[in-house]
Amino acid sequence: MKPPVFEFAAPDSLEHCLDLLERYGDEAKPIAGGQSLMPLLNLRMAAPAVVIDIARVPDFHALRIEDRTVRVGPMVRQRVMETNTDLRARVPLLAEAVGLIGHVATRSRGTIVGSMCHADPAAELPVCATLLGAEFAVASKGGTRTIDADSFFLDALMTTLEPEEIVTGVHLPTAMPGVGYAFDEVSRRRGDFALVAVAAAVGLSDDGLVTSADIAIGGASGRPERFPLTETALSGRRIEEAPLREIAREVCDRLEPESDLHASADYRRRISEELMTRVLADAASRARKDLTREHAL
Amino acid sequence: MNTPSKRTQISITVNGKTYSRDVEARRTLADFLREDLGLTGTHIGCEHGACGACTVTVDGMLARSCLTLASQMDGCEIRTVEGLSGPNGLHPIQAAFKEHHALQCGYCTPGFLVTAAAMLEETQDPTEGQVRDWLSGNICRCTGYQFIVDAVLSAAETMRSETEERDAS
Repeated sequence: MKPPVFEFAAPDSLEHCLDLLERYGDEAKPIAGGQSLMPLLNLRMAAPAVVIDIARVPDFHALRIEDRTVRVGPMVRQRVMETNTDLRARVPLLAEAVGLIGHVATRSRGTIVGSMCHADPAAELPVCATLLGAEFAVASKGGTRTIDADSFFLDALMTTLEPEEIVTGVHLPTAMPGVGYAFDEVSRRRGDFALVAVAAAVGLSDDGLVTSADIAIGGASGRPERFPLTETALSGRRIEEAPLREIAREVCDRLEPESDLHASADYRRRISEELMTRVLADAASRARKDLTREHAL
Repeated sequence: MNTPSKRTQISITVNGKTYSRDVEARRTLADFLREDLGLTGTHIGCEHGACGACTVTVDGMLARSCLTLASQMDGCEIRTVEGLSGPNGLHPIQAAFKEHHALQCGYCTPGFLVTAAAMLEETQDPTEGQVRDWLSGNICRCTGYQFIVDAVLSAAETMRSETEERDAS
């Protein structure tokens, strides 16, 4: 179908953008790359009175790669995670996940922040943001605030962003030495939303023992869930001696996935277990490579 | 454009020609190309970004024209399937599709051609896996894809040898 009738504005500064949001509140919807909003408009599942194109705000295109943080403006396209080698090295989790998001044509338009704000429970980027503990910089006429990923994602397609607020950037912590990251998912077809997506970060000591472990799961509930595993049987062991499957199963027992057209709850639980086992092992093996490389220097 | 309006004044360059038009704010780029400019080479399949038939490039980057508003495109450069062939006839991708029987009903073909052309501008020597990855966002219900992949790999080879010849002379 065609989008419903709406009014369109393309503010040329953050100030004008915030004026519009203040004035129209939940009647307005910002559009960045449009790869989540446009299907909703075409399917008539969304009918905002005003669509605010944020692409003309110059600051929104900024990507700042710093030592400890990568600051991603709301107009930075997902495709950048494939083409920018510096960014890929700093945030390897995103570099691995990006290839699983849609297709080149949607990644070329779709933005990193836009996907996070859309908050589809099975989307890859909210899972990455949750695992890494990303922070969302938010602005409104009333001022600015920062929301951490844990409090940002509320439920399916819902965040704690107020109608008059906009995300002016997401801050992602860069990879830490001695920590490995991994992302994997199961989807029906290449580029589809995941049935379940899992991200892991595993830290190793110099002698190869697990010092930290975290996992985040998408698709198993209305929002991405993070599970700290540092206090489990993983800790202080070599990864190959750790009971990965048992730990994964314990996490799965806490999941309450729903059945839908695409997969049953039981199937989702089973692939969660398998994916967790895989990404924990992959993340640890990457951490080990990272340590070997550091020692070689 | 700081004040919301149901209509937008835009200036868009399509296949090298610049058009200024007053469009309804909700006009998709796909409908703008087809209905307002008469460029019906861009096909509309699913109209929600799943099929890839309406793929064009925006400032050199692939985009679904059904998931793009014409209003967002002010000042942008678009290339559609009509922009592929040049004064010397078919683009190597188009010639290869013909040669390899990479189309049957032809409905999805414009999207495949534009996608493949964009890929070959970035990757001159793609593997079969890379071709399949790039084309994974385009759906074809006739061919079973094998001949499309064959055609793209063959076009890549043709374009490489053309580049080599040009460099040698």
